Amino acid sequence: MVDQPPSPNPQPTPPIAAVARMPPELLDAIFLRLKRSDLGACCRVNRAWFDAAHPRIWSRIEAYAHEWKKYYAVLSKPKALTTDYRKCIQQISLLAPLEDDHDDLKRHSLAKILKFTPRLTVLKLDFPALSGDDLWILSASCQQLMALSIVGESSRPDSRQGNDEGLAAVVKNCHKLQHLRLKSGVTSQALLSFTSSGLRAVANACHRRLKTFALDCVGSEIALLINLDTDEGRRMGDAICDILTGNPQLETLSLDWPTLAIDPALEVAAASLRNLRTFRVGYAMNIHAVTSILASNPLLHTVSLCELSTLDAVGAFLDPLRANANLRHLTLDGAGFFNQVLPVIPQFAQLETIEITPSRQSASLHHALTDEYVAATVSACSNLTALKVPIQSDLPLLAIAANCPNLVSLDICNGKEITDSALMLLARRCNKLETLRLGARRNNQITDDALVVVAESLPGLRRLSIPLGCARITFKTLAALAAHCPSLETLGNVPAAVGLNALMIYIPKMERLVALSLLASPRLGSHVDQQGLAQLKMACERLHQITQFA
Amino acid sequence: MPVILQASDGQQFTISKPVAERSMLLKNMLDDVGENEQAIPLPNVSGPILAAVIEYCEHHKDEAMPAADEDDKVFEASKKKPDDIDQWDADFMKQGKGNEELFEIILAANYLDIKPLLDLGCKTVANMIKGKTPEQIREMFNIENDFTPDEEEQIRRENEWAADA
Repeated sequence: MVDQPPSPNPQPTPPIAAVARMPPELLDAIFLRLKRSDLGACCRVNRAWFDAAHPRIWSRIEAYAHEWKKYYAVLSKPKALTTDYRKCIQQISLLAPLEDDHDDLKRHSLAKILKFTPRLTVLKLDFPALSGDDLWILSASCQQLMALSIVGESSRPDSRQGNDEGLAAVVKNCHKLQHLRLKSGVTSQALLSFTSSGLRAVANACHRRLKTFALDCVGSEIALLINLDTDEGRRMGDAICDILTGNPQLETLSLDWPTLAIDPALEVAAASLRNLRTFRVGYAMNIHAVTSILASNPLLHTVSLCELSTLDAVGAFLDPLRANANLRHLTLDGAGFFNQVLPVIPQFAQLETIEITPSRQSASLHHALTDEYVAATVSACSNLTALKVPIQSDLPLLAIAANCPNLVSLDICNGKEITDSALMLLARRCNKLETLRLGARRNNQITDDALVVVAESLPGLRRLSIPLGCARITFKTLAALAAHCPSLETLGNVPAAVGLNALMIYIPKMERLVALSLLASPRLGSHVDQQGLAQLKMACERLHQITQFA
Repeated sequence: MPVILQASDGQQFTISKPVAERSMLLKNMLDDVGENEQAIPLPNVSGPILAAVIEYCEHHKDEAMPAADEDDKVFEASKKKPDDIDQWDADFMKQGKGNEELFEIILAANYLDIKPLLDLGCKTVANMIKGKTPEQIREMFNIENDFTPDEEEQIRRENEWAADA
């Protein structure tokens, strides 16, 4: 602020409008409060606004796998663009919820873009999208990478070697990497897509810097333990142990890896880790070590114990958690202990997320007392935002409606005997619901009446699956969903009996719908033919997958 | 001891120290130079805008200073905070303030380093932008369009998908 010399010209220049004096960082402070669609409008206001608004649009890409090609179409022609948007990208997260759907992502199309995203800090891929060579490219061009979550490309021996070598390059070259999640697509060959050699490279490169280390499995056939040959099993176990001892500050640990190699690692985790916030384990034999980890990490807020092989004294491993006031999210599954664990859960009144299922593989096991246990649980836990547990009758549904106004996600797994009146009450009371899955059992009592109330009461609904076999559902449900639920992304179990005409009228109005499943009833001659399905897909811009099953 | 502020147009304001200290710029200045009877010149802020800023600081003088935000978990999708605005604050931003003054207040809050007022100003403008077309935004804030129609159309095309995600 320098004093102006006296001006020879007494006429002052007209002042510049305040809006034109806004520096980019102040425009950004406004833009950070806007949704993407509003940012799109801001981009077109003028040059100054474009410069400030477009980095917010492009900093984070979050999309389904099949949508990547729309981004690729823009990003792959940088010279023709107003500006090179690749330079803005800081996070990429690609989801793959739709089955057998990886063909859409052209080989290496992602890596071609990653070559020019120097500011990338987070890369999260829920399906195999990067080969070993692509990982090399990532390691060379994304030096700012802090968090990486990938699914190994394939379990063919040559790909596994590529995956391992690519992973080695990433941990060696990306010095800021703190969060590492490796997922293996387990296929029928039952091979993991990373081997001991990749994990050894992680152990060698990462000392005292990992906050997250996760080995997870994706795929449908994950129940079986994979038999590694003895040497490989030992080498893998050693490598995981060394990763844990080298990173005692770990805050998130997940060992959901179907091999016995994780058991020695659990011993090491119990001995060396004290800062865990999130702990997940699957396929553990070593229950003693699991209990010890839970006892020695008082900061734990998220605990997932899956496919535990245990038959006796099951409640005992929850004892250490009882003293933990931080616990918010609890996932348990295992057919052996399901009904022993449920009665204990009401003691954890501070829980916000509860997921308790007999097994990831099936939802069908149901015990006569389950509904009562669940009703007791939801009555105790009034802060619940997410609940997944098999519910058969109205009793627990009514308890949820009475006690859990903040519920965002509900999956009742079973739903065999639920009725319209309970469902209506649930929708009216829990109006923050975004995900509602009404079970995988046949239920012919649910009608349009309840589903129309669901649609009218839940403006934020994103995912809905209707109970199976609802023969009394008509176009009225579709009309209500199209009118009241603008965010709906997936819609499951619509009876094909509603007819192609009704589908053609209402489904295209669900502008954000990505996946639709139809329930055909060949016995009644109700199904939509291939031509009709193709016609429907053509009419909907985002709708990517329509499945029909009987 | 009171603090005297002088706006760019020469207008002077006498305020109490707790009110002045809502501004981190003034707080640091007072901490550094100690108490002083001389007016502090604020050449970037006009009289009417400074009066409004002081009104805001008077109202909020007894509140605790805001704490820094915590980092989100990296793997979690980020959730937007609700844009709730306190009723007094909402009225304050509305009363007698044209859109030009809104931006003046944001610039002043930034210069004086008053974080809650800066947030309030940005939230207010953001709420006004929501749901508007580019043309409506330009009209509302009196912004000149320096794009050719072709350029604007190209930007629309390039950002269409990313902006709708």
